[in-house]
Amino acid sequence: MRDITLGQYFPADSIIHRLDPRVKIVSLIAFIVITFCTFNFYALGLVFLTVIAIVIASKVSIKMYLKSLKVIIIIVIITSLLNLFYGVGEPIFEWWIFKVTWAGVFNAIYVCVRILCLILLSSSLTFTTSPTDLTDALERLMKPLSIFHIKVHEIAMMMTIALRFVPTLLEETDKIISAQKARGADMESGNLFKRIKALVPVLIPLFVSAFRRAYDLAVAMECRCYRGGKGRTRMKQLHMATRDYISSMFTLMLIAGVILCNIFL
Amino acid sequence: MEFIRIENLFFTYDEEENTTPENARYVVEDLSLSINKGEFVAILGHNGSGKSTIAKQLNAMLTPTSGKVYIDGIDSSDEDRAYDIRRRVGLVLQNPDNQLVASVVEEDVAFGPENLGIEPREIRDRVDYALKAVDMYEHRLKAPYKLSGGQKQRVAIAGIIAMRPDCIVLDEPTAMLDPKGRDEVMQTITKLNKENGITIVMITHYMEESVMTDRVFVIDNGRLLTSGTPDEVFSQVELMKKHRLDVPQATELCHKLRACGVEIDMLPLTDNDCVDMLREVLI
Amino acid sequence: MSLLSIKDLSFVYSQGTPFEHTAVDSVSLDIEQGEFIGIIGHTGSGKSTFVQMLNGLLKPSSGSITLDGVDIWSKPKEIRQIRFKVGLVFQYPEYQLFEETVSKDIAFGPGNMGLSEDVIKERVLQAAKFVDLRADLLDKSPFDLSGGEKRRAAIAGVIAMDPDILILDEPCAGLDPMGRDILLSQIYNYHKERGNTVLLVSHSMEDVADVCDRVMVMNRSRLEMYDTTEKVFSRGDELSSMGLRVPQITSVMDSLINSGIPLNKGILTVDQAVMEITEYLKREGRL
Repeated sequence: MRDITLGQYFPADSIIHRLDPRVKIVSLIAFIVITFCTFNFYALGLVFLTVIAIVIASKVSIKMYLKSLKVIIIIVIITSLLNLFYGVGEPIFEWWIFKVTWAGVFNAIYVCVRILCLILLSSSLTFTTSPTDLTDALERLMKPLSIFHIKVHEIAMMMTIALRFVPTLLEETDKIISAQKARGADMESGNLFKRIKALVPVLIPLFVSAFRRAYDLAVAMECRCYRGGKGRTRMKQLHMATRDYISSMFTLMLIAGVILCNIFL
Repeated sequence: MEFIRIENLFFTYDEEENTTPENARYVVEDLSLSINKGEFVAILGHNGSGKSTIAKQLNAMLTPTSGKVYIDGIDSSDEDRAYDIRRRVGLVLQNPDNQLVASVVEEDVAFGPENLGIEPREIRDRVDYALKAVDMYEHRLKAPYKLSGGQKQRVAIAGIIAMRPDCIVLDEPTAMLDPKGRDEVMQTITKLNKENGITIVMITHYMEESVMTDRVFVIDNGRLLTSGTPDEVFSQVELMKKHRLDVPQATELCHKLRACGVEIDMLPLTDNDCVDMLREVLI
Repeated sequence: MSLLSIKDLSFVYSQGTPFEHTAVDSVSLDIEQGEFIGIIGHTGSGKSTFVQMLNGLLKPSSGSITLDGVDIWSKPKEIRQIRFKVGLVFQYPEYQLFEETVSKDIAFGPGNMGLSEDVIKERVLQAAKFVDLRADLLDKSPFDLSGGEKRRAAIAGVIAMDPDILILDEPCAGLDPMGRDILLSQIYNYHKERGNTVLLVSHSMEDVADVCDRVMVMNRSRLEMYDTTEKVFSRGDELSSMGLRVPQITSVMDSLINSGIPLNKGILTVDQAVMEITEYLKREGRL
């Protein structure tokens, strides 16, 4: 019985967890923009310190954050090396075709810290916000887009249903794999082509099953008077609390701080 | 007071353009029956007998090819009133998994009332009430994939209760459940009928589930074979077997003993009745 | 020598994590060739985990499974071969159909065994016959079959591998009464004709009483009983404490015996009961 938690949500009682998910999403976007708009180390340092503060405040274990960094470690290394060896100015030392300059070193560190901030921030969002809350928040944030005839409610409904069925479909995949293995299917050995072919007995039943579920679900939804988004109410209401206003204020202060650092330092 | 009335219902899945009353393959043929408010009724039939099609006629998911279906006086063929019918008649289907929409139990139960445009605070009350009625309140924050079959089915029922229907139709609700799940669901359904007065129409092929109902309708080949109280219907053992329905071992035992010449008056439907009856004969 | 010898078999999920859970705990038993064994137990008692170890889908945490004198894990790289000797049909097997035609799907198992085209064709036809699948259905797409036909086609897919031991996990789940009867008798006839060993996991005590020689009772990951069908179902109180029943007819007869009527114990089917009661009445001169 695998415990499948999508998006890796870790429930805890921290101030970050309790923030309105809409505030968190909008803040994340603001943070990402601001991280790319830092023009010197002071500004970046400010952002970095704020990110660390958020990570600590989220009360999610550092191990999890480090795990999320592990995923992009290759990209970080490659980018740093590229910056390290292709900077401008007087070389500190040379070896073959590689020139290391002070500018290169600074740029490498700069890029590293930036990527770090981005990853840690996104992780802090998914670690502290349940997938359901995320989809709720996205639906409400996207509501204004319905003016452009974008089917916001339908998109949100698709996300909700996907979230609901991913663990179920994963379990079913396990079962189908077991059943085909019981008939002698070989999923482990062989070259790439062979292994892809071995997936057919798993993918076809899975797709058929997914379509069947979709049909059944559509019937069940109609039985419960579903008629699309018009006239629908929601049981769960999102309310802004004092902590949300305060955190928004902090975000604005950070933006101001970065701009000031950019201009005056 | 009559709640459901079916008059000479004919139904075929065939497309309209190519079919005539002569060459159409009817899944339901000339069915007429009526169900009163507060009744607990079973519609019994083997797989393919047309019973599931009948279930979907009761909440206007399907409409008659010919004939009429009236729910609380509303004609089901009136497309504009399908919504009104579905508010009055909830339908619970066979597969517990494929009825749950949300990834949190209480949010799924709220789905129905949300569709009805009920005010948020009232939805909250209805959801709590419905979950308590099916004994799933303590699991309200769980994810569906973590529940057993019986639990999922009870959540599906709660989702219907939250819409405050007059009637609940259940299409083979226990077919995919283990014995424990089956018991849980049957207890819940019986309670809803006895304590809350909700009209229940249960489509099934299990005899044990029809024993405590008020009336039983037996369907075969899309036609109404026989109807009556459970006692009246199940005592017709040979008829049941001929139409691919089972009879409890207790009933079958007494039926066969009677054929051997043992003096048995009425055929029992439950183990306890059978024991009592045979005790009389054997002591 | 027993066909299948199981010693201290255990399986622990998520070992070493806070979610550790022992699904099967030190199960030992010997299964002889040609037996028809029922496996009963409440949901979560470990039945599914147990049977998945028998065909090497799951590797035991400890203990051994010896098939024909050889430990099935003695050559881990060849564990696939075991699955051809021990066939396992999962619940709702119709959900695993995938090929273009029914006969191609049934041929999937034998195909994986590396058999020749002729032998495979032979096996497909024979398997279809065992489950009473009409010849004209073989060229259709499996998705065009009815529910009952799909179920039988899926079971045929495993029978076609001609395993020495066939394990079926609730093969009758979701079928209507007549469908259950027909499938169960098809399985029984297959067993008699082929002479192989069959294990039937079931929640229906009546089905188990009908066709099984011996019964394995699993309770909370342990093997509580392993005996003849008659002996197992004579222990009604113990079964009850494990959340299990005895067949309805056995329960009725037991109640009558408890009321003081001198009937024989060990009645498992309705016909046996009819015979027993009529014999008793004849002896009493009342019939």
